[in-house]
Amino acid sequence: MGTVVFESVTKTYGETVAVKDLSLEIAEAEFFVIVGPSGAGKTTTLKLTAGLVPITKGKLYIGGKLANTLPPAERNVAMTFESYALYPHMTVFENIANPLRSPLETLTEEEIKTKVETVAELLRMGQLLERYPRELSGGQKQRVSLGRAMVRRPAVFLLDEPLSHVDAKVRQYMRVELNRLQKELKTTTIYVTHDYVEALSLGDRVGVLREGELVQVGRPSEVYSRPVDEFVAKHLGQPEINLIDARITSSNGTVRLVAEKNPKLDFILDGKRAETVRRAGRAQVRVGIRPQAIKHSSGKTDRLVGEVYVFEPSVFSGQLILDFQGLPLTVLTKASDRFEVGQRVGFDISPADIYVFDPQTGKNLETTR
Amino acid sequence: MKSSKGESIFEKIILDTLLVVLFIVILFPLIWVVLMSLKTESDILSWPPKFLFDPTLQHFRNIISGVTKGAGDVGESTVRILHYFANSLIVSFGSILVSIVVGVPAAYAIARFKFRGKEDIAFTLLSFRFAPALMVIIPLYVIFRKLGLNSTYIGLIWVYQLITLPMIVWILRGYLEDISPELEEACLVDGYSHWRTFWRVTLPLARPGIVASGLLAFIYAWNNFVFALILGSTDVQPITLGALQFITAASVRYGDVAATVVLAFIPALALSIYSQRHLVRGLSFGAVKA
Repeated sequence: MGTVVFESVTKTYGETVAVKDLSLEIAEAEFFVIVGPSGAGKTTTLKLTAGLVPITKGKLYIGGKLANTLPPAERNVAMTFESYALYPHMTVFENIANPLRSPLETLTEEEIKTKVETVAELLRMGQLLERYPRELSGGQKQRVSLGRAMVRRPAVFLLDEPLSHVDAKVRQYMRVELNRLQKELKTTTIYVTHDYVEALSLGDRVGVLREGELVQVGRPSEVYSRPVDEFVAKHLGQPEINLIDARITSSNGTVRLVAEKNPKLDFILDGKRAETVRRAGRAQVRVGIRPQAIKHSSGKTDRLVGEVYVFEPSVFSGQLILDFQGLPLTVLTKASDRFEVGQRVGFDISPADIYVFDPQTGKNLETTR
Repeated sequence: MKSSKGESIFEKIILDTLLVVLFIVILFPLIWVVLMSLKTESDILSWPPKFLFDPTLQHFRNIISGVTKGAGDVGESTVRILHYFANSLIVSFGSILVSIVVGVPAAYAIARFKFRGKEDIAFTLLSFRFAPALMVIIPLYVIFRKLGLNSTYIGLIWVYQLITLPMIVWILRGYLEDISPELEEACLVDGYSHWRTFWRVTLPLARPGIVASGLLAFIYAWNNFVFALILGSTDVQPITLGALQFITAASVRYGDVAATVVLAFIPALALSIYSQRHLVRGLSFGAVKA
């Protein structure tokens, strides 16, 4: 019913390519998140699916049926827009009821009323039904647009940045709610966001989009722990991953990566990893280290010692930038940790936690064949 | 810019005074014409002008009955002012109706879609407005005579499109461009066809714009003189030309002219007062984003 299959779908506007050769299968009842920076073609992908912009090349199947030329009304999809797109001249009730009044439906006024009220209850906005969109807050508008999408029980939900314009508190709550709703309704969902936390916490699978190209698809843990390239590693994760240029030297079965700015920072890879990295045949690589992977301590026993350059404490976790003799390193700290500028901090990085990227193509040497 | 709250009392007084002066300057001719229409012929011509006089409804009686008497027995004639008035209504409303039926879809297409020659079409429409009527009136006269459109309502309504259509298309274009296409997209996804979406979402949201542009175009159509003068006969000519009938070789019947003018400006005045809010909002909508 609710499967969506893209077969090398391409969308061009004149010279510009908005979506490039997109191939993707989204399973029934799956929560699929498309994440990427602005201008990556996320919204275009949704609009292609909804039939609001025509496909230039390739095939799109919805529920097993070729949908390329189907008008939006016949695709049985529902969409929320980043701007919410609530009809300003209709009340909240009428906004939500709009899909039920379409020529495709044959419902009595009584049935419409029941359905709208059920959805309003589900989204906890029963008291808002008589208001007009201009009288609502961002979070409330958001819920109305979700309600309008849900009221008809479509085969596929297309959600465009649904949480980007609501304030932090509501966002947290809505994220949990969205997850619950989707599991409850078991409706295939394509969810677009630029926020990696949303992507990683909501998605059954995540697709990373860059300049119209799908860079990586996988379960959130996969995409996070095995990024295919620097772009994915940088985009998913906060604070941003440390990228350090390093030289390769290899000797009997092991590979040694030495940071160019500070040779004291080095990693030794052995076994299969060494083999893979060596086979790539690069003299130089870029080493990626997540700020979370740098274990710090005040003990003097550590192999590596850096100086505090900046420290930004926060309630949840701190962010520390260490100056390791000319090499800046971003480190994530516990909320309770406190540092002074200039303080010496010992740290350690396990070679198991690092990524090795090709400095020219940005590809992860260990995930590409 | 300074907000109205930040103005000093002194500035307020000056602004208010200027407004009053402007108000008088603009309204004085209207008031003067109303006074004239209520005066006897001799009061009208007296010097210094009289502001206090015995009002008479004779001129209105004259223009309504159709048989008019000038001062004394001079220049008795029949001028069917109500007939001219009816012509005005038919031609003005007719041309607005045609303009809206044609202009709303045209404005929508220009506002929403990309197609070749779009700006050229839009500009051609606009150019109807800045080409003076006198420049095109003679070729039009020849065309009309060949087509047998001289002195017909259809002919006048047609030629009035030069006045009303560009105005409606251009005002509505800006108005429609301000309605987010995503609203229409949402309605399409809700299960409606393009056509139904237009009726359900676009048209209701564009209504103030349609009212404003329609009203403005109506006033221009109502005021038109030269097209009807050349392309019409007394059968179809509007009230703007009807007033001319009182200017005869024998005399100029100022009182009857004034009464006709009063009759003529009542519909325009009533309509603009009635829809003033629409007009202000509609005309400023394109310029100022809400």
